[in-house]
Amino acid sequence: MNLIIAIPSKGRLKENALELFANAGYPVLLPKDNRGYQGAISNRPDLEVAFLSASEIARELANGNVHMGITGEDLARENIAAPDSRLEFSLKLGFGQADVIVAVPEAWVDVETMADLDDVAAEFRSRYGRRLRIATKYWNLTQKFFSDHGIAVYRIVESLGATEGAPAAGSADVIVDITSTGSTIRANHLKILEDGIILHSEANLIVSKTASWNKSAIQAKTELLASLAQNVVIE
Amino acid sequence: MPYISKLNNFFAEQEFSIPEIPLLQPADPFLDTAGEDLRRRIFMTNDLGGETLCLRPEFTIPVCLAHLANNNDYGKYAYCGKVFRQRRNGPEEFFQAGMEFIGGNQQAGTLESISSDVDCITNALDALATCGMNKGSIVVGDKAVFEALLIALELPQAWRLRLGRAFGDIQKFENDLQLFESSEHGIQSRDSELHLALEYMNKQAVTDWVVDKMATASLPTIGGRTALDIAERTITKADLAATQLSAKQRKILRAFLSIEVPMANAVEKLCEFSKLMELEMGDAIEIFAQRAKQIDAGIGDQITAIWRANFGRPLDYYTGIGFEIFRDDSPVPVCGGGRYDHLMNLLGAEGEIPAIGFSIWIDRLKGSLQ
Repeated sequence: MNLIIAIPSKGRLKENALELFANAGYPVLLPKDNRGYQGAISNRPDLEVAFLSASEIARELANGNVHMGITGEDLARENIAAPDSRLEFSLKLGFGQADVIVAVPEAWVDVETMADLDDVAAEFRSRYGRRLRIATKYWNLTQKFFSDHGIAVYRIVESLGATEGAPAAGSADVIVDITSTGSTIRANHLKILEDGIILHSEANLIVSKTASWNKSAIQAKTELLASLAQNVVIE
Repeated sequence: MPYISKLNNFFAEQEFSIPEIPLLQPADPFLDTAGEDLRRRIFMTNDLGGETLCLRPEFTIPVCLAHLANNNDYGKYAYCGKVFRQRRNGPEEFFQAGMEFIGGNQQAGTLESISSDVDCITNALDALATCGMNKGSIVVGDKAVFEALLIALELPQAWRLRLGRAFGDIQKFENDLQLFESSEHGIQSRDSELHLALEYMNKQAVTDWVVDKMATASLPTIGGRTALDIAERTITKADLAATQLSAKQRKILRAFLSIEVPMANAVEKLCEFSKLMELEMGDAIEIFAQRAKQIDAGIGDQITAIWRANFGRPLDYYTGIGFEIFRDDSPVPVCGGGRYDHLMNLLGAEGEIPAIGFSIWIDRLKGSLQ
């Protein structure tokens, strides 16, 4: 049985992943034509490489269709139900860093913490005739985080792009979004709450707990993990 | 199923109206009131026009909407039917039956609320008795007493509201206490202009500062938080920065919430507590006493009634009493109920329409096949 490794099919995640694999002694051969999605690793016929989109990788890992894969922790935690029972976040890879955060308008000078946001959310309905609205594409992470902070009364407005513009557009009051430097947040006159960091995300090497593992696959996994770990660059 | 016909007979005998509640319901009223957390637990779908619908997750909200649609002043309603909710344990479709007492003059914490509180509890116990459940226990809590305590402690309003929301959620309550114990909850912004405005507690200057910030960010000025609202809360928060919860207040709050006594001793316990802590709790004690007496008198000999001071549900529409009824041989409640004076307003009623009700989990009754 071959060990199947999923690698992001485009962008910085792909470039960083290929570089890491090459440095670790696992040079990845790209698909023969541009539309292909199957790669390979030189001299290792027992390893297969699948090029997939980063969110597909999380799903395929959870379903056990691939053994290992590289994707952002945010995508895995957002898109997979009970992620820790199906995935093992084995290695942080030192690239693709970004935080999933709660941000409010800078003008809300009185709102600095989640406790403040709780106060504001509680009186929204009686003051403005509607619940507080949160724009995000991270439904699950938002629900869990807000529920952990005891905040129940709000509505999520689905946002599939330019989430940071939602408060100015009037489609939401606050946002939950991903940011690496915070500059987009600041440029939109928003601020991150002091305790509003939901997740420090980065690219992870994730091992599927639901894929079928035989002895040789486990051995190949262990060797690969060890080689990658030695070559991760911590910034 | 025998329980269902028994309960339906009981409801018919009591002459409660039984509204027709469709299986498919608009999802928004449920999500707007109970919050986004419910989304994971209900079964949703869309109609061709794009409206989000769900399988009936419970009856109280549709019954309230029916009451509103009929423009009734006062109504007693009963229901019995299937509800659909995703549960970790147990099937996702199950039967619930219950009663709602909506409208009239019965606001939480008033003398008038006592008879409908007692009516609700005795009807719940009678309904269970028709299903053969004559033994068990009932746990009762009362948010109105907790709120009276917060007033007696002379806590600032902003803190009272926060703690009121945490009633029934001990973790949230402890987090709030920690927040009030720390002295760093002022405004942290380093903007010098804002600091100057706050130093003099100048509301107009703070408002101007916020107006400016909102304009820079092109935030809408209507339909959401206004500059004045933000300025007022900013000043309140800055004002509270110097205030700290005293060790005595903390001790009283924790001591109160740990009270759990038989209903027969509840009044004595509450009087003793308020005397010991030197609290002036006003009418709350008298109302509590009258109700406790009537509850104790109204329940059967084989039902144990307990007052648990921290029992309640941490959602903003619950007010006044809450209760749960247990079998002697199972830790999960067979019935839950309570007062929800703010719900009708959330559902679109003008002003407040007080209400109370209960719901029975039929599949948790003894010998139920469900």
